[in-house]
Amino acid sequence: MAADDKFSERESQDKELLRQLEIQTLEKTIQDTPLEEREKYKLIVGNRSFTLEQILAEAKEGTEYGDMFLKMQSRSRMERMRRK
Amino acid sequence: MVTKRVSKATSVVSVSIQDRLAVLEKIWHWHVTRPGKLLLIRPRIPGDGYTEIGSNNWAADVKQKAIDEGWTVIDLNANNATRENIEASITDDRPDLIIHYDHGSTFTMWGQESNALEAGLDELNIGLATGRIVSTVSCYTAAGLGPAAIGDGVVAYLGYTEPHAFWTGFENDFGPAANAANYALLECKTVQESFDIGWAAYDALYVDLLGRGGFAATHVAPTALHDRDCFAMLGSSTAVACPRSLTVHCYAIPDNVVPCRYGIPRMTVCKGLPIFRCNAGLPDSVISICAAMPDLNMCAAGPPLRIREIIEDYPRDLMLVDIDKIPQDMRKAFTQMMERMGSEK
Repeated sequence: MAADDKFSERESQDKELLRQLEIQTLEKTIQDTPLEEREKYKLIVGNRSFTLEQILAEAKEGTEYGDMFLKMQSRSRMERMRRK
Repeated sequence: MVTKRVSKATSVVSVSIQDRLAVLEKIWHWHVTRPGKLLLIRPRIPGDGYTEIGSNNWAADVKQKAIDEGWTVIDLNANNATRENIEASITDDRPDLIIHYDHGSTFTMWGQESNALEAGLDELNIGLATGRIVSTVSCYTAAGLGPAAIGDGVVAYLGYTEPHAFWTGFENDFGPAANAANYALLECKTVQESFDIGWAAYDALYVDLLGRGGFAATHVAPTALHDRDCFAMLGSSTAVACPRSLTVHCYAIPDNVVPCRYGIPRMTVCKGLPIFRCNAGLPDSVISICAAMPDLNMCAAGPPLRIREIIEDYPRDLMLVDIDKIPQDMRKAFTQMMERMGSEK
């Protein structure tokens, strides 16, 4: 396999790996969040609103909003590490 | 007030007005600006969470801030935010600052007509805002419309390159962060200062949400960080939304406009003399004056006095300057001017 192909394939795998890790993180935090809070608070973005469960569904589906939320979560994790 | 320092010459001197103007014009850029006219575009679409829970209410706070700061506000609220009204307001009312709160797309700031979204400002009409600062709390526009606006002559643009988001139950936290930059613009801060204040407000919100723990820290804080990071500034960083037309300022109170045609740094003049008086009727106020101006439109004690007459007839009073009252960055230039005035015959 050409070097470029190896690189691209590995890059895709790594990205998907990170995405799955972020989805697992999101699933766990949702599990740890009381139901009343999960139902009470919604993310408003554009002309859409999302509960946590809906965000998780979007993330698993790989939609634009789902990817956006995973990215938010990932960046916040990095930022918290940076501030420690 | 006690005058702390008196310049060298205390006798009447004859100084070329042109020479004085030349010196004053060099330090003109320190002239303090005054509030102007704000066009506020804030749709409110029934059933739409972003405008009903968030943006329209945040914009209402901006409107109040503008009024408190002395701005004239053209408020295109809800169904008044039609494309036609937006264009007419910019053309006919000639606002100094345009602030928009609503949905955005890459090349569109959305307005509203008959309870539905309508393109308000886009690449076809953003050129109407030439020469002004535009600030929007909306999704995406800084990625597309913003650069187009700058290319079309908009002086500076504040907006977001990605979707702007918030959480219900936390709209009263996100609102002040979203408003911070616009408040700074209304306070006549530069675009850079306003952007920095806005960025810092989001950053502080992020830290605050982390500190609350629980849902706020885990799920809401990332959104604040996201909003911070997609907040963008384009165009001139030194531009100021407040127009530079020229006023006599009363130190102790907000501006009462005694319009002058030119502007210069503030000087303490005519203390105790019944020549100028603030509109609020404060006697013996330390009144700053636009000394390079031929005419004043209004004096408290009678017909307008020409600045030239004041300079020529009351040079002793111009000498009685409280140097400590002059802003630090103007002091040297002012002192040089006064020394020059004192040395000429």
